[in-house]
Amino acid sequence: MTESAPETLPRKEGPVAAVDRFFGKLNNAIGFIVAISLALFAVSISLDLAMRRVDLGNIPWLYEVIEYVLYGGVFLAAPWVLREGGHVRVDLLLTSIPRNAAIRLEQLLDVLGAFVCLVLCYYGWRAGLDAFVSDSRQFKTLIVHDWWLMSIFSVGLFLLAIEFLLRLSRTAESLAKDEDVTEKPGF
Amino acid sequence: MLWEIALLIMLGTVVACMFAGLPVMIAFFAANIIGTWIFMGGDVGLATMPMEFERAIGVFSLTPIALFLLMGELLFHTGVAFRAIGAVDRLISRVPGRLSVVSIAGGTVFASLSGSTIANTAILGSVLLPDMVKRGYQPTIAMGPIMATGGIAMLIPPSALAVLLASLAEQSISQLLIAGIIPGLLMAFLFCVYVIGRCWLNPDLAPTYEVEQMTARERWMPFVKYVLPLFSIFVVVVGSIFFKWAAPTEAAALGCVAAAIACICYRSLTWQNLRKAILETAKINTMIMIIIAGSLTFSQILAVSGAVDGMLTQLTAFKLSMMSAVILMMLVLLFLGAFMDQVSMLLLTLPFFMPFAAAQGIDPLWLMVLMLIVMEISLLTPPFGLLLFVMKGVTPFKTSLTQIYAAAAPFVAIELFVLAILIAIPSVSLWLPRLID
Repeated sequence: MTESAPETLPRKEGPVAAVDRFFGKLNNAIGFIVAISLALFAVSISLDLAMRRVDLGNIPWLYEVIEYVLYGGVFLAAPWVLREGGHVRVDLLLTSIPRNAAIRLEQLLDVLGAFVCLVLCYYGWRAGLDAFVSDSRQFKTLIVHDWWLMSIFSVGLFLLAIEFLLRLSRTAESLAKDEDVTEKPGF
Repeated sequence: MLWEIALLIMLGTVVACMFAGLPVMIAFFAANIIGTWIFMGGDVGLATMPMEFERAIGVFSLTPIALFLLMGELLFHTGVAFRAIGAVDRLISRVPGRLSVVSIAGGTVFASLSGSTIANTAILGSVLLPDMVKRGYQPTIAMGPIMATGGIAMLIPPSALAVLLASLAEQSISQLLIAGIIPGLLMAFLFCVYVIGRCWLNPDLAPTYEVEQMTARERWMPFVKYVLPLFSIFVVVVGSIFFKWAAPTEAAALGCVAAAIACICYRSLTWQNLRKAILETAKINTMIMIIIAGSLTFSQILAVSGAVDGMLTQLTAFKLSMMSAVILMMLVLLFLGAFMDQVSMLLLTLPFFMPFAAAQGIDPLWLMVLMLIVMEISLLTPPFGLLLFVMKGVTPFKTSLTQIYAAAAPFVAIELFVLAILIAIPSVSLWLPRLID
């Protein structure tokens, strides 16, 4: 089991390359915001505990906000983590077959990944639409519409599908240039 | 549908997708789509599935995973952990295999401050390996202790994986965190005994050298300055849980604040290393949480499909003794651990193990400690033990994976020995958490 090393992206021209660069910046920005949110968890939970311990009350909505941010952050940051090569994968097969076959398999896996994400994105969108029509909400300290949550899910999965397709295009370009794009074990 | 076919469809899809090379999260998602379509009403079931993902990971009790990771990343990227290990280095002298013993002691100290096995191994490897090579240490005795001690971070609190395990098994996170302390220390002690014994019998493994002469003050001051204050982080985290002053999530948050304060006091916290630490934390946390999202829905589908009940009925029919049941589960984990990452193997087996353990009358806390040990072992088992690859990444010399496997082998044997002790004498791991009660 390995995690892959981050891919290096030489500057290329063309519309796909421009989308790729834009996407890279968008993903980095999302990743950074999610990272900041995790640091804020530590500060706000400690503050809440301290307030309770000195009888200053507490922040009643804090735990709920953290739960929603945790959920939203995971799905929105997933494309960034994929781009950074941070998702766990077993590369037993990829590293034991000939290079060209490995690249073709890598491309097939990217297509499969994009397809799975698009299916989930579609059902997330449908669940969101149903929630919007029925006006279903989560009633806790905060009242949160279910369609908000489903929108985050759908957007995250859609971005993930695009990232898989961009990987596919990067692999194809590298294949044309005879570069080795199969991911290697190690960090 | 027969439960065997349901099991084959669900497990078969996940395993086939994983071994084909799909990211583990996508493997679970793919199995969920197929399973929901077949067992949960097709289109209608699929439309309700996305809400299940929110319920799976929008859970406050999973927050310590990120926070424990953040603690370790902060101490790692600011260099504070490196100084602490350097200070431990000065304390140990005139011991056969001195630097290997330093790696075990330093790694155990860092394990009490970090929830990340990878950070632990990477630190020990980059700090101590170059010196070991310079001193003529054989790869076996140089790399083995570093990899083995790296894994102790999984046992000694704060441990991100212990939080995940207890949270998913719906058991007490506090008790599991506390339960890992004694097995972790026992393991570190046995590693030391092995290294010293081996190097005493065969001094060529780790040539002795003249340790720089230092006064007692020179020897102890770095320890007082760089290690003792860091123990306050451990005390904050474990003490607040032990004395029920804070819940595990709150203790984890306090640990992060304490780690940040320590880094500020050492004038090591810069915007660059803080940024690096939080980005690394976000990356690992996202990777773990999205697999949890996929796998929890996977467990629900397994339950609805009848696969879990069918398998349990089948296993119960064998009338296994409690001990045989535990050994069977450990063997399954050991096998999976050779090929899979810890989070995946945990999430794949938990839906079967917890009901099976309940049916057999096995203490869930005991079982979870044993599972943690096996997951620690699986970090070192070929062909895909994660720390084997981390080690390959940080070695300053050219080394083959076979050499790394050989270096890890004796320590895997010691870990199996500890596992056997814990199976035979459950109170070794259980008496400390029972004190909380």
